[in-house]
Amino acid sequence: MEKPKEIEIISSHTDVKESDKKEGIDMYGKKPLGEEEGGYVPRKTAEEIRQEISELKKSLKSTNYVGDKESIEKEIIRLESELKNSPNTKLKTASELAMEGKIAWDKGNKTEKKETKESTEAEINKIKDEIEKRNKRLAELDEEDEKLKKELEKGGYDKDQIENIKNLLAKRKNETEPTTPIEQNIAGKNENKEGKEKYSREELLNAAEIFCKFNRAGYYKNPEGAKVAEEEALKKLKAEHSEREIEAAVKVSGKRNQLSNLKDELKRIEKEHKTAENDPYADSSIVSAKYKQQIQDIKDKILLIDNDYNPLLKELGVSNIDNQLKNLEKYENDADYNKKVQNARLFNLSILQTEKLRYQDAQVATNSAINPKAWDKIKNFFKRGVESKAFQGYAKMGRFTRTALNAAIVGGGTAILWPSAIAAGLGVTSFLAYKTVKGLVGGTFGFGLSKKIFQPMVRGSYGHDEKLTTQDQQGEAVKSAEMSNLEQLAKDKENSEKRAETLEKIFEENIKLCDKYKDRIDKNKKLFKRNNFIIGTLIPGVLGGMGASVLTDWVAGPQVLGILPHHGGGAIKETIPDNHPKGNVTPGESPDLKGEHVLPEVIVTPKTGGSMFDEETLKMATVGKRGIEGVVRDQLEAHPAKFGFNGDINDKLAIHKWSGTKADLIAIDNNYKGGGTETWVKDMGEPGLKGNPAYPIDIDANGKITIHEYFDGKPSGTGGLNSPYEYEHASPTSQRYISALDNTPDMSENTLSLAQENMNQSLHGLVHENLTELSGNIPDYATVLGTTTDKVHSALLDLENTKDIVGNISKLNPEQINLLSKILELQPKLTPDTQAFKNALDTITNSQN
Amino acid sequence: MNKDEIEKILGMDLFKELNLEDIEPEIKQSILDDAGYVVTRGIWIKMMEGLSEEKQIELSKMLENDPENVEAFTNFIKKEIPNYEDLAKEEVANYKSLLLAQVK
Repeated sequence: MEKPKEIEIISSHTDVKESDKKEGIDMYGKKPLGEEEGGYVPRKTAEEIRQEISELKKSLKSTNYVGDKESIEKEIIRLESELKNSPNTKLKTASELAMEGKIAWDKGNKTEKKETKESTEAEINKIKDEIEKRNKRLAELDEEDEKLKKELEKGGYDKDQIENIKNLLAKRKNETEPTTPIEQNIAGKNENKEGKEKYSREELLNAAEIFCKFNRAGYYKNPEGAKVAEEEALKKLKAEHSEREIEAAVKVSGKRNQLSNLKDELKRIEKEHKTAENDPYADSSIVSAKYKQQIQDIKDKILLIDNDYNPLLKELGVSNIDNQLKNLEKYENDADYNKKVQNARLFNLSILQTEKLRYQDAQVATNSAINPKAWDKIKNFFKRGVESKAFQGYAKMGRFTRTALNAAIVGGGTAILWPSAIAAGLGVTSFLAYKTVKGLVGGTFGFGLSKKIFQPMVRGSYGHDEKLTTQDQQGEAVKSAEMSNLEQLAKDKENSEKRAETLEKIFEENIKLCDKYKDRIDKNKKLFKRNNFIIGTLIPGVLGGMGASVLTDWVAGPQVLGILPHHGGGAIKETIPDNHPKGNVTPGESPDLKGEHVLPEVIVTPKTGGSMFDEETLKMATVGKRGIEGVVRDQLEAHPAKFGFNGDINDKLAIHKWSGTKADLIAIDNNYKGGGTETWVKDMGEPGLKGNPAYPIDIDANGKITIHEYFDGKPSGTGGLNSPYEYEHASPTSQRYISALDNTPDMSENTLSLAQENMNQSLHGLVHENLTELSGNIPDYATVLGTTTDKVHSALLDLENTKDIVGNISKLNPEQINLLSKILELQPKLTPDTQAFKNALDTITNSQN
Repeated sequence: MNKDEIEKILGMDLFKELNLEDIEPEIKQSILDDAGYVVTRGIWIKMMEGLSEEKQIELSKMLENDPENVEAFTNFIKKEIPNYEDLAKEEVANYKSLLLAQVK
């Protein structure tokens, strides 16, 4: 084998024995690493070489002999050359690699790194060989088994001998089972004609996420809950999507993850660069050049990934619509066939837009790792929330600017104001504003916020009358002078300026209210989403039957440009499905039931038994003026200490704040909420114990708060969603089109700053240490914290599984907060990161108490 | 994609092409919300990626400190990204063609 050039250079100036040369042994008595593979790894580290160069440079200055100077200079040049060629220092660009044939370029400029592919293929081949060996061994064992079985058939063996043979057969069977997941997958591939098993579980989960079967950012009570969701998602993925779709989704998510992973590569480069910069012996020009080279390589990689991504996403879209339409062929003659096709197209749009949004999040995150000073600000600007700068600037914008981009997308032929619209990011601002306005009317923030924002507005308009139901109040509101004015304004095409002015006033008012309730919204955003029912109930009432979207259109203005059809004054779209009975009792602050209808079709057949609650508790727990969550909350507030409130028992406000969150969690825990649905109770007529369900709570042996179900003052014997007086409520809009903005978490959640990641790392370290240390002492810890061992254990596990503890600080439950505070308190010394986190925790604890 | 193709795609009626003209206005609006957000962000990403790191910082500072100063932004972009209009149009066209890929 011909030696690489570098070896020849070294050999030419060192005293290496001829015999050693034959053996490939160098002057240090070491055999060059990797030579047998034709490679060469320098025997000194880059660090050592730099140190040597630095020392030679020093001696160069001190020596006066020309001959010595020359030889030292030669040696420096040689070492610098060695340093340059060291695999740790020299990095090649994508184009250099392409020249060397390590990257293949095809006509479409698509590339594939051969090295990675080859090593993966080598790995796969290795495993395949292993499987082949196993199969061969299996065949041999089968043969031996046959012989043993024949021996057994011949008879003449005693009981022990038979048992031994059977054990041997069983042992051999185990020996041939594939053990690693990859082996199992590959073995599965051989067996599965559909070939779906050729992907890892992780890849399939990524695909499931693309098809909205799985939400990685979803809230799961515990790791088991997450596991169940994963299994369900995988099952649905295989049942509902074609192999082509799955392949496309795996490729798309793979490419996106490739981009995301560059962030980690950048962090490593950054760290290396900082170390090199601080090295007094390092040549700063080489350090800087190397860094620039590495960053350039990352940029090259971003371009290459970008180049590949769009065609893959297109293939995902096409394969998905093909499969959906194929599945619909059998309904071709059905009356609702066209609607089904529309739903298929809407689903297709939804997955494409959501996926593109995820990819952009990865783009921003990677760029942010390259240039955080600039991109962190961009990240904040695009934050999908009311607190973003983009959102705040909304009210000051002109309508035409807001809608310019919309026009371009729809294709309405309207002139595009590119310079101004794009320059200020105003396009996005209008969409954020749109989204938020929609949120205010029920899209994103749902019931709680809408009630809090719109009810005061309604009441402010005509005065609140306790004797009237909400429906009646809305009716009154519609007839009020203010609403008539608003309606007139909305219909008044001529006076668009005044209309915009009025609506912007309303909008500004809403922003203030949003700010006021921001904490609550942030904390319970997911839960609010589940309560999304307000469109078609409150708002149409307020606006006199014009539908929620009218307001959003007015505010952002596409109607002005004629993009969307006019629908002002049209019929109310009832969002509660027709098959649901009217006159619902909703969770939370439900309307007074006086004057509502009793539904003849409601058949109540409760099971009965003895009561374990007193009459007073049952009365408090009976659904009437308040829904399920409302009555749970009442009970929590009646006995706060019993149900885990740790603050001042005389502070009613603190108790009320606590009970809201707690009641939400209890409802989820007891399956009355979750998965986009919520249990509602039908209108059962007159309020009171008789003829109405009650939901009393108590604490079980494990310390869990349990909701019991009673009817007519007796246990109903039912639970969950199956009682005849209950029904499952879901947001109907989500069935047709799931908005990408609603479907993905805010980018701030998955693009953490370096500081935040460091902080999380420190916290995870502490949690992990405590989890290990406390595994035998959890009861003691529970005593210190004044809680149960189960809660401590589950709080620790949850914390360990929470990727971003810092970002989710507002979502931590009281046990987790207490536990973290205690852990931090027990540390002899805190880092600035963990100290900052502790301060934040203390603030939360103080506000809760 | 050449300029003619871009203009052709920009002129297409998205909902008509997708046979979704008669869907509920609020769903139509929701689709536009998403598309608008994605496209605008896409344009920003493209623009930022085309700038030097120093210029990226300069632009982001403007965005952070004075997000409503349209004139300042316009001037900056005209100076630093002379082809911004083409870039923006291409981004919209690319995205629209992705959404229209399902139409046969």
